[in-house]
Amino acid sequence: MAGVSPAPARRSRPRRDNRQQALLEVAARLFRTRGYEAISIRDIAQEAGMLPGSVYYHFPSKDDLLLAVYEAGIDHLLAGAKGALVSSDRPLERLAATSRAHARAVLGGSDAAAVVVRVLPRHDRLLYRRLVDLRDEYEEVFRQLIAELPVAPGVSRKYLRLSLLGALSYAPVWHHDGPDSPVTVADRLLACFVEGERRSS
Amino acid sequence: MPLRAPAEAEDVAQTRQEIIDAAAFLFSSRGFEATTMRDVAAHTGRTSGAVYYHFDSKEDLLLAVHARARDWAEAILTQSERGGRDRAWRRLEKMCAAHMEALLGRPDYAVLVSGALPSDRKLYGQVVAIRDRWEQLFREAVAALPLKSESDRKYFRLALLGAMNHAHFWFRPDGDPPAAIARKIVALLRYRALK
Repeated sequence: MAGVSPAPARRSRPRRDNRQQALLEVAARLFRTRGYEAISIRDIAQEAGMLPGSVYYHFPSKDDLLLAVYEAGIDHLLAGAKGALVSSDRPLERLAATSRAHARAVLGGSDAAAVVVRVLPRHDRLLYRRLVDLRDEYEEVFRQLIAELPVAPGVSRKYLRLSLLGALSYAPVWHHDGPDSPVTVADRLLACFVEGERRSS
Repeated sequence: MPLRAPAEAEDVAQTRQEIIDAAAFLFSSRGFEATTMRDVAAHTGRTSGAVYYHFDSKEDLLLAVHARARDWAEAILTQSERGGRDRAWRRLEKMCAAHMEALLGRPDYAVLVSGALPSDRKLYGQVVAIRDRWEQLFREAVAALPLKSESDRKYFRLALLGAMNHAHFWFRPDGDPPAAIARKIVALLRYRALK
């Protein structure tokens, strides 16, 4: 059952009642731990203590559920970034603070945010497009932050953004509650990109 | 079992490869749990019995996918010679180019690098062991780099792998080719990004 129901205008995300909220949390946790493909509506219903029919009442398809999880994840990430942006007026410190917020979110702070950085199914064009639009909304924050940085000649801001986001988003794969805190992880990964040897001319 | 004629043995090897190809494709696109032996058989145009002739279980097939990708990685990623400061960087660059090309073009390699880990405990251990060997290749390449400290080395490796492995989210066939992406990421990590 591919496909998502017709798009509501972005920026007017529907209010979720308690039941829907609980379902979203269960779905986010299952998608994060076991992957999107392996999970069925039945699994989600069972875990939430509901009948599959009741899940379908709230979300017409698994794709709709993923879209809702994505929206929650992006909202979480954007809220973290918003707090970080006002923490300093120095570009590098702002980028560091936003990177820390990202690492905190994907390393345990939010299952939905962890789903955003690991899951992007391509079986349905419309769904794919909408997920990418959501990701872009968040990546725009990083684009603007990196646009403010005084980069060395020859450095591609686009690659800096994609690589930093990639490095931060890969942390859940290896971190497993390791000794370094999410803040340390973010600081160390960011340092890898901004330090390094001088380019010989 | 009687000895096989060489031509027949070749056919058997060929069939085995086709089954591994199909499994790799399905595991990487649908995931391991959601794929059945019947799906793998259908994908190769064979019966389930033919697939079971070569592999006792789906778990065996998952291990075969991982093992083949690891063997490939060992052969390709360790080709370039060692030694010298700049040589270590060039070697890493070559490895990363091969890594990016395989990640975006070979389903078995994509399963090895980023497939979800199986929930079965025993199988999990076996898959993790194969992955560890693969990671070791990168560890060795990064170990040869002239970096400041060991702790820098660990994060350098994780930043590099994260940056590359995330590329499948944004890679476009009409954009930079995989090898160029790898070179740009390595350069970004090698040289100071800020003025």
